[in-house]
Amino acid sequence: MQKLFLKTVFFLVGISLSLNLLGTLAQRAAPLEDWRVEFQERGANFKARNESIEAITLGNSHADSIDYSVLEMEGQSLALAAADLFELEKTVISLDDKSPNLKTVFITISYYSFSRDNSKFDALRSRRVGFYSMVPVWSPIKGDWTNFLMGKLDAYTHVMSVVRSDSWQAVWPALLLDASQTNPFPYDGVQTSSVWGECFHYTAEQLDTHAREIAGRNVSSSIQMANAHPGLEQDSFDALARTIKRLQARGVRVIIYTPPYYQKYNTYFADGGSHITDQMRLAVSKLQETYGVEYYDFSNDPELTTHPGLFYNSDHLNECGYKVFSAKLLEQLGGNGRFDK
Amino acid sequence: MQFNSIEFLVFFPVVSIAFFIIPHKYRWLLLLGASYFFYMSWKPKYIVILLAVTGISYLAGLWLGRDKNPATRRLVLTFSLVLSLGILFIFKYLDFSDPVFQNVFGQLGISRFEPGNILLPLGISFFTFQTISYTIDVYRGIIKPEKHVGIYALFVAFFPQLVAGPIGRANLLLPQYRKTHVADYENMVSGLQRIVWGLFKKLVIADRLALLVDTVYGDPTAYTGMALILATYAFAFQIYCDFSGYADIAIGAARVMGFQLTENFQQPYYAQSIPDFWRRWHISLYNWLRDYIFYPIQRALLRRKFSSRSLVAMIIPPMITMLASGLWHGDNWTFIIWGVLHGIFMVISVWWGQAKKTMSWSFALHPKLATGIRIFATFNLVCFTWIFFRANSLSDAVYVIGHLFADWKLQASLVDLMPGGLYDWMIAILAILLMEMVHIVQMRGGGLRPVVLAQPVWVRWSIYFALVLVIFIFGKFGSTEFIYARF
Repeated sequence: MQKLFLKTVFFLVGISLSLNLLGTLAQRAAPLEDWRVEFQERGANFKARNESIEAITLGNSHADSIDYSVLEMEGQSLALAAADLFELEKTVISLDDKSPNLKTVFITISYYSFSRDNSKFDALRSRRVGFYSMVPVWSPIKGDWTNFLMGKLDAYTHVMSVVRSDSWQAVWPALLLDASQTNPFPYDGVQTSSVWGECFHYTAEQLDTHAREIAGRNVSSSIQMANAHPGLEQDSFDALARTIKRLQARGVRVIIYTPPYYQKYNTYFADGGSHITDQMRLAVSKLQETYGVEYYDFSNDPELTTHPGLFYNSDHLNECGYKVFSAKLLEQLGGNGRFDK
Repeated sequence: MQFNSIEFLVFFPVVSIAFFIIPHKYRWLLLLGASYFFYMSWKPKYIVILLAVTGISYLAGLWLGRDKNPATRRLVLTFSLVLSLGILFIFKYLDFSDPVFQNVFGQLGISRFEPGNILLPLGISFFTFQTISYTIDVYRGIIKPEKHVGIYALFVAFFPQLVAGPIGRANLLLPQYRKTHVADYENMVSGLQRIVWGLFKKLVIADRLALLVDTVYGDPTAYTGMALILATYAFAFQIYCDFSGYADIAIGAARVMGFQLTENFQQPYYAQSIPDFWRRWHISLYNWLRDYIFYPIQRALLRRKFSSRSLVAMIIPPMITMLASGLWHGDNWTFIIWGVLHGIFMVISVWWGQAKKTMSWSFALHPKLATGIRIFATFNLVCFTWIFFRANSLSDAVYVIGHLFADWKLQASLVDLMPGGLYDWMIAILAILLMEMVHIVQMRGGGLRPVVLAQPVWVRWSIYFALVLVIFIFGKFGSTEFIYARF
């Protein structure tokens, strides 16, 4: 039996090393998704500056809307693309005692934030696994052992970078050609100059097409997740409430906000998902009432939502948009007389 | 919990290690608990059905073991079979969404009843047939009834074979649950190798081919000619790799703990006739049907003075057996026709075998060429029947058959039937070639293990690493259900 044990250990170590090597190779040669790289960079930045960081942004990719240089704060986005409120809660737990100077947390609330559970949706399950892999949490979100185990396995073996949906179809040519010359995530928008600088953005026509597609997809995926997780809204609300309480108990100021969306996105989202936005607004007002949390809604602010030049795509601002939005946010916070930098 | 899921990756090592750590007298309890947990991870409440089927056959076995009165014994056997088959019938064949049932439920005041909530219990056909064989064997006096309720429950629910077989026999399995199993290096290594081989067949071949088959058979009217032929051949390999992959994992998992399950496949696509195919395909089901349907009917006919060469004796037993095989899969017309076609082919094959002996003339082909022709013809006949098995409806099957040779030409668009285009085709073809090479080595005697074991250690380990990495790189992951888990 000792022989079997030693051979098993040797085999597992060998396989883990091979997976690590192959996963790293595949990810470098032809990354399947950019959100992992982006989040890892954010984590590394946070770790490097954690002593001085005063503010962080949490939420999904819509949270990428604050430019801390405009707010004149030491801040860092820890937003994770497609993150749900359960993942957000775990992220906050993982940050306990890691940011002694943290004073403010900005939490983005998208229209569908209370109708999201990535573990219940096949297309987003890999995000949940990636979350467990990258974030140092040591217990799963309620009832999510499978993805948790997969995520922790991935953290040590990079297995998810080896197990690719394209079966390495994109890796071989990238290995044979010069990977640095290929851009795996080409952007088809335009670049223009404005008072805010040179920024990439979609044209009005592209924004319309994108808005129709993405709003429809977001509404439909939210409905599917809500069907797969009975009581999802309440569970999401509870997760966010616990997060707010935890942060407030640390003396951290919690500011929640809904970022601006391009006007057509709002129109298309309302077509099938007005009940989702209604529920979101109801939940937010309950949070304001119960926890005295501040909430700012920029989703329909015409100074932002009507300018194609500020949008990377219909539901994400570009870097110029970050600046304009951050200036408006600062104005709002300052205007209330409550924002103390 | 599927064999190809992360849960099983944790569950199986934990159960196997615990099995060898705890004292022998508690092992049945561990395996039974693990098996029920395995089953309940799907739909917890359906454990009631498994318990009911176990309870009925256990009590019937005890009664049959004690009672000597033939009339009472017959009554007990009939009662137990009616109950077990009744449960199978209710859950497998009744359509609760039918307006007749809705009326009945309405009159009974069951307004909250939602037929959509009733699912086919996982593995019900497998464990029901296993318990039926036990009861009949006790009735026939072939085996003694098992008195230990826990051991008997384990015989019905043993997790490696619970969901999709192989359908085990009590005389082979029950003694194994009483035996003290010692951790055996050879069993563990060969069991693990078998599991990896099964995963290769499932994840690299079956789930890749499923992408093509599901596209074409999902809407066959959008395709003609070559696309339909390719999808049909692809399904032949998909279902073989899916089902035999499951059997490999089941047999391998049981072997790690020292249990020997029945082999379920023996290179079926190298069969030289339809009866030969059934000796190689889903062997445990065929043996069951042969022992409990074919032989009893044949014996009954012989008792009624039908000669074994008479047309009635030649047609009735195989036709009823194969019809039962079709019905075992489901009550759709597609399965029934699939079974009937196999019955017809079997009858023709037997008749041809007898007719050849009386013929004054014969073909003089080279033996290898004759074997090749027989294998080719049998494979194509089987593929033809797979059209009915896979089609979503009878009209789809009729369309596929009617258009197999329409617009029969090679088109570039055929490449796109696979999501990854030529790349996916290449992987599928190379993986099938690798599998067939292994089959040929197995048929020439001994199997692949002795060949691998004869290699130097670095070659052996390279093969193991390569196979595991090939599964990770080229496998289609996503916990796709095994096809036979639906039955």
